[in-house]
Amino acid sequence: MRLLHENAAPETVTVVRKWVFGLWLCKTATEPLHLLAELPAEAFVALGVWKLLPAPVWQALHSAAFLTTIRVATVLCLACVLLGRLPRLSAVAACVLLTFSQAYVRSFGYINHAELPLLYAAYVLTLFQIADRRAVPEANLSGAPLTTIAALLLFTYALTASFRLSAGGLDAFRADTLIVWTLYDAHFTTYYRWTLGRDILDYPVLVEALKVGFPFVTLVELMAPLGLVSRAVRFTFLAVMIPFHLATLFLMNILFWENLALFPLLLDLDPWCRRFFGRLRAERSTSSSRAGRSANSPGGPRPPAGTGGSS
Amino acid sequence: MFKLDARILLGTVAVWGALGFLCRFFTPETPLGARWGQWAFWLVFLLLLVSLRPIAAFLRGLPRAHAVILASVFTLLLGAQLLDRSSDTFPFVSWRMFSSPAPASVGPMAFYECYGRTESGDRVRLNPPRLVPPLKNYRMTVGLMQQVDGALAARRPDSDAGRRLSRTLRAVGKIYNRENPPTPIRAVEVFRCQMDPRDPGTRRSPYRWLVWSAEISGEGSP
Repeated sequence: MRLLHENAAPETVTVVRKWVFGLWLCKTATEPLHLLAELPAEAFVALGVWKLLPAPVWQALHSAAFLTTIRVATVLCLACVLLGRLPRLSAVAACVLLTFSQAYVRSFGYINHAELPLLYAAYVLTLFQIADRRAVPEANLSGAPLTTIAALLLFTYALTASFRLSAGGLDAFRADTLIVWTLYDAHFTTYYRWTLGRDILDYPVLVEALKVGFPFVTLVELMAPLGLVSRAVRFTFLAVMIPFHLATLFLMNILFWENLALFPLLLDLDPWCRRFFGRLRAERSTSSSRAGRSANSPGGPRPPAGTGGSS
Repeated sequence: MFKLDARILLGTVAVWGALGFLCRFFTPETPLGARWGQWAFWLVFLLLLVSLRPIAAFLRGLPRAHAVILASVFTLLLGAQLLDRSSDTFPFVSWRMFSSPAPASVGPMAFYECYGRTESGDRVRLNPPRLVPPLKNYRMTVGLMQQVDGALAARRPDSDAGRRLSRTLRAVGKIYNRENPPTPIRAVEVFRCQMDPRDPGTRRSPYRWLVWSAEISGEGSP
């Protein structure tokens, strides 16, 4: 029994940091946040800490210019994180701006989960990076943020299952519950446009698979945090949840791609990262020693005439 | 396999107990079963997790700053679930999916569809989440549905809910016209659709009737 990412190398954390902030950069750069300003301001209700803003200020923020500024500033901060410029400051600023924009898009009627684990991953990487400055140098801490992100991701599934069980009890697993949800979701007008779910009643095998699979998926979700110490639980989780997410896309037009993008963190990435960076270092040292040899050799590169060199 | 650390166990019980106590005052509307069922489950589960040898060793080895971060993040995550007031606790929210009561069995169902009416009277199907991509993942779908329900409940186009819906539909129509200059629309219409998924006939062509219309350059009407 070993904790996931227990001995992860700093390079592995770097790869994950680039992955998480890189995903946010792509998402922020490609989403036209300013379009929200065209919708009526009164349809947006402030969430979380933004509730502290007086109503007139909140309404005043509802402008294309302000939302474009937020988007550009977020992209710049994320680019700074990726390039290693003012890494702590830019990461904190990126997290604050991302929190604002994620609150804003959820202020229109519905607080969904899709991007939240990826947002938490950004928080954790930033907070641990700040805390690392104060850490004991000899302590092997590099794996801690990765373990925390994996734990948060797994906990979100267990929380969903625990709510389902405690609020709905066995009623949540009544014969047709998931079929009814599928039919509704497949008929709503959504971003993704799969229509397979509308005709689900024509596929009795699929109906039975959903009926039997729903309690099983709930059990796997509930046990997910044990995946932190058990390879078998982790692999079962991935084997069940990847098809589950794809099924919710094709049947219900619900896709949590951000969660799928974090699933690699449930694998032991460290050996791969060590091997990759080890090979990279070996190649660099070989090429630099070759360059050094060729510079010292008689036929090696010489400085251009008139630029110095010993006479 | 297990390693019991009194400090970690007591800390977990103290934080989780305090959160349970707070919930008594802040979330009276959450069903008792959902609140205390989850509270009891997570108390047992958290104690099990922190007693597992690798996790206990990890927690004991953390420097103070790291331990504070870890404890804060998990307290916020679990506390928001227990408090069940996502609009107050965002970005930490209540995690629920397929848990609200659905009809017991498959039967007649209703939903809304949006159409744009062109100058010639033709109708084009609109997809508001595609027109405003930041509101995908059901944010636009549910938000718009709530607005339509609210406006229909108010029964008057000049009610606050009616005006809000008309302005939203007009905005959607304007974005559509900007993206489709060759086929501009004059009005955005909301249809209520009703069908029985067990009946292939109505499934293919549900009953549709107009419930709201908003002229892009004017007022809306039910």
